Amino acid sequence: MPLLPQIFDTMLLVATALFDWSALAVRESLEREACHSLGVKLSVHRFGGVGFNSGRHELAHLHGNGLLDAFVGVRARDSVVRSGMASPHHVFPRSGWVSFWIKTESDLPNALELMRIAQRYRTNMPTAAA
Amino acid sequence: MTEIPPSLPPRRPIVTLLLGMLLANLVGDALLFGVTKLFSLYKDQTRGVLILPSFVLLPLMVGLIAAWFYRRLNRSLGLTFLDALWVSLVGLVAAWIVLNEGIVCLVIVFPALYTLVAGGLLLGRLWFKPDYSKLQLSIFPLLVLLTVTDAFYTSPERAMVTDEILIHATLDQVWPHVLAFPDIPDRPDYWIFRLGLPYPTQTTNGGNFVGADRQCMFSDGIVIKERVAEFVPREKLTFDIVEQPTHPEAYGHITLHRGQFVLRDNGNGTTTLFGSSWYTLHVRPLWYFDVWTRDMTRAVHLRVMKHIRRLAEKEQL
Repeated sequence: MPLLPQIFDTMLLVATALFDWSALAVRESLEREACHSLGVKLSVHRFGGVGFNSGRHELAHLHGNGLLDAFVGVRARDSVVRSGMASPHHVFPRSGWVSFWIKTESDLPNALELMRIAQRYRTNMPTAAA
Repeated sequence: MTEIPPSLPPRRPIVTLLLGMLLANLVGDALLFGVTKLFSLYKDQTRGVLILPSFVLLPLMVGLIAAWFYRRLNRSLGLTFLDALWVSLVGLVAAWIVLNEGIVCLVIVFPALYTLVAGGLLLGRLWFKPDYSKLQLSIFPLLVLLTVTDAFYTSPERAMVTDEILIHATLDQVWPHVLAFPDIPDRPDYWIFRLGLPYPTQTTNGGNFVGADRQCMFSDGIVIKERVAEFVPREKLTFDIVEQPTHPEAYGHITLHRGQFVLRDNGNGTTTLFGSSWYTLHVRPLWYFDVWTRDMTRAVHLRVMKHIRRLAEKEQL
């Protein structure tokens, strides 16, 4: 059904605002930093949440409950997961996606680094974690 | 990588905020009336049926429209939630003035309205960023289409609520008070009664036979006229509602069908009294409003049944 994933994810965000107001500030910092330091554009993601895009490529998306999914590629995935930077993707663990929960300000550097890895992968540059 | 166009500078933010609040609600109301009118051309229904199907999509659209006005203001997430509060409050005031909704209805509607308006604002906050606004305006025709379509795909469902209470008195002592009872002296303790929802005060009985008229009096001078449909002495009393209450808190949103008392002798000098009500809600989403309706119906049942218990147990002493 059109819009349903977006509406559902927005409800997650409303719930976050009601029960964990401080998490909103963390989300906002991530959006601002990603736009500023990585030059990404924000969009409504097709499966709900905020999409972080570099040119025509999607680097990551952030769900309303604070779960960040970043596309680091299959090769980088294993080292990223081994290093504890992220977990395998919550739905597709064998894909090039990884997941990471953003709850506090201290999670921001890690989230930005995942997006940097994704950006390097998308632009065919060698990844730091690979 | 394509160039990101520079953000448009905010212009007269206060005016923009007020304009967004007012126009978003105005468009939402216009769509509500438009869909209702269209619906009435095809279905012989009252206005209440129309409000519901649109209840999810309309507030969402109101939030989106407000977000379109706010697109140059670069609202933060926190301010977006605050914006949702003002937009929702304007919507509630409009419903109070234009639709003559009661305070209780507005209190019930507010949590869902706020959540959905906030949802629309949050979506629009991303959707209507300067470099996206042209493309994403297509969302409005899509929402209008969904709202209109949704209105035609709803069917009223009859619901029932039953409550029971244990009375330390025999069937013979309980039964007369089920048929009719004098004024309930207690002040209402249920919080929605205190907000203005009418509460039962007295019941009169026109006879002990099928077809007899009954009247259930509520506060605010409301009288619900009933007719006995089943009469089994000391066991069961069923009555149909023959005249719906006319009150801003109820009118158009709910149809009351039937009420019933059933008594069960527990064989130890006590009686279990069951009270049931049948109704149809005309507002959607049903799952949301039915939670409130069941809670309120339960409060009505328990006020009456506790009064019956008090009268019967007084006789026991």
